[in-house]
Amino acid sequence: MRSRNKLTLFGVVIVGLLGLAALFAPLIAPYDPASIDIESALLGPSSQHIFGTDYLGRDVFSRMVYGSRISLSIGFIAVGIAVCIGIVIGSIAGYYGGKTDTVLMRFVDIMLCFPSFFLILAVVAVLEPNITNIMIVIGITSWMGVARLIRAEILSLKEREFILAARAIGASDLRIIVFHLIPNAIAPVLVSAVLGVAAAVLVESALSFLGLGVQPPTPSWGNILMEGKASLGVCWWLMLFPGLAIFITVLGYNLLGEGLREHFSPHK
Amino acid sequence: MKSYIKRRIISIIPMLIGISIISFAVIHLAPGSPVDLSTSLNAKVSLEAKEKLITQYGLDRPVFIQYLSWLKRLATLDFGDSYRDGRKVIVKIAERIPITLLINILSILLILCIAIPIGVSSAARSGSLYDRSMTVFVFIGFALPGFWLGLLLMSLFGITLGWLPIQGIVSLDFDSLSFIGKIADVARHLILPVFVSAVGGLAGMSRYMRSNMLEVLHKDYVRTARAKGLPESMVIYKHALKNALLPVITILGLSVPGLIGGSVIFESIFGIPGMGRLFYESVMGRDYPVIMAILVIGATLTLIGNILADISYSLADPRIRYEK
Repeated sequence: MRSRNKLTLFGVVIVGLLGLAALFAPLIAPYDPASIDIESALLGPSSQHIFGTDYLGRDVFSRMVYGSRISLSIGFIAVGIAVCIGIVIGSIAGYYGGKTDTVLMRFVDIMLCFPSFFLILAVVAVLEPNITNIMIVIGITSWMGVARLIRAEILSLKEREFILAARAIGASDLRIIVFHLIPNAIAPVLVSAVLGVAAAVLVESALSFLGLGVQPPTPSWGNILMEGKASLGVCWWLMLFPGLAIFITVLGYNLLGEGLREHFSPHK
Repeated sequence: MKSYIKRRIISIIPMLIGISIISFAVIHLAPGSPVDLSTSLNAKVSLEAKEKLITQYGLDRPVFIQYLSWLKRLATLDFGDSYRDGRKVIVKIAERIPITLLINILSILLILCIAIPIGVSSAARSGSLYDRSMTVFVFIGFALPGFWLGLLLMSLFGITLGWLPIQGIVSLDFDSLSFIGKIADVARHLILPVFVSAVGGLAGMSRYMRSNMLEVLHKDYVRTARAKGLPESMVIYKHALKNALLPVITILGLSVPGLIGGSVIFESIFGIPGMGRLFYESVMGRDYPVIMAILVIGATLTLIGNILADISYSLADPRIRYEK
């Protein structure tokens, strides 16, 4: 158990540091992430540019610090959208049951049949790839897990005494769902939201890496990595650092999520 | 039992209709018509040519009618012609599917061969240094972005060491090789893609296997086996493992969409001419008939995977009875 706690703590530290880096990006970044300086293009890491420079002479470290803002905001907002959709659909299905439940859950099953990356790419093909669209697309393709969780929780809660009591004093359905059911069903959703941030960061960076996500000149870890791929074997710093950033971010949120799951777990 | 299988197979029909509706809606309900985007990128396309495209693809008709006529052709596996080269979509996909399936099947096998022993041995020695280091390994495997790992391995084994090829599935001199040489050549090309696509699943599966095994090890029949004096290896491999393996069937079914979806990334990195790369090219070229077809096929493969998993689970575990 103690090593588990250490891992969770490690996750908290990573998540906290990343959050600070994103918040205070202008204070941390030594250079303007967009300032082009062809004279110093593709320099390896040095004391001036600790992560080197890209093919336009921009400082990679500064671009990565600003990139953390993009990645994290996409992660959070995408998960926010997914959680909202999931809660609405899951609680309606769980509370009303019957035909409503069957139809909604069938819809969830069908959505889950699609390899999510296919669905995301298809929507990106139709819409322009930009930050807002990516948040929306990731959000509307990843709510199904939350819907199932909320539905299962509500199914087990809705026959409990406190709900019967609420109904007996004449509370409306909406009031029961919003004030009595959802607050009691939210713990597993919190866990899946934290894990969802990790997944969304991964998807965003994969999209940007394929050129279908955040478009240059806006910096994102994925599109710096794309430049790294173009100079594979030569400019290793363009490949190593952004990938490491994605890896550490995903690791941090996963560790935090698993720690929370452990914390909420009834088996403890 | 038979009636369960029958019901499960009948349930495919409404799911397939749902899949077709979503695949169609993704492309057609977005603002603007598909032709807008393919023409707005090319200033040379005249208004006239645009109208011609619209009539040609029937985009001037109501969406519902468009869907029905698409569905009707879908039923005969006619996915239309590609916007890009005019070839039949079904032919384009058919020539790309085998390599994607091959890579996915190989990586599933790799996942099973490595993850099950890891999971079982971690559970058998739960709390030990070995178990804890495996937990760390699993978290690392989970968090590694596949495309980054692919790039790292490509530059290490392909460029720095020069041991493995990094692009495509065959060498330039493939045709001149002997039969054995051809197999060896393809195998060398597949090592990195298969490994990279397996890493995420490897972590997930070994973790899953570990928790299954831990659960089973607390069951009464395991205590009974121990109580009657069986050696620990017998308890673990004979009594516990069999029961812990059953849910793996379900997980295999559930992992199909992730593997297929991941093929877009791996096939793009390693230049493998599979279905994932075709999908990527079609997205870049806004080749809507191909995009819709691959969505339908990808989802259908997942559906079939899930149903096969459910049926084999019910066959493998006689305790499961799906009455009604």
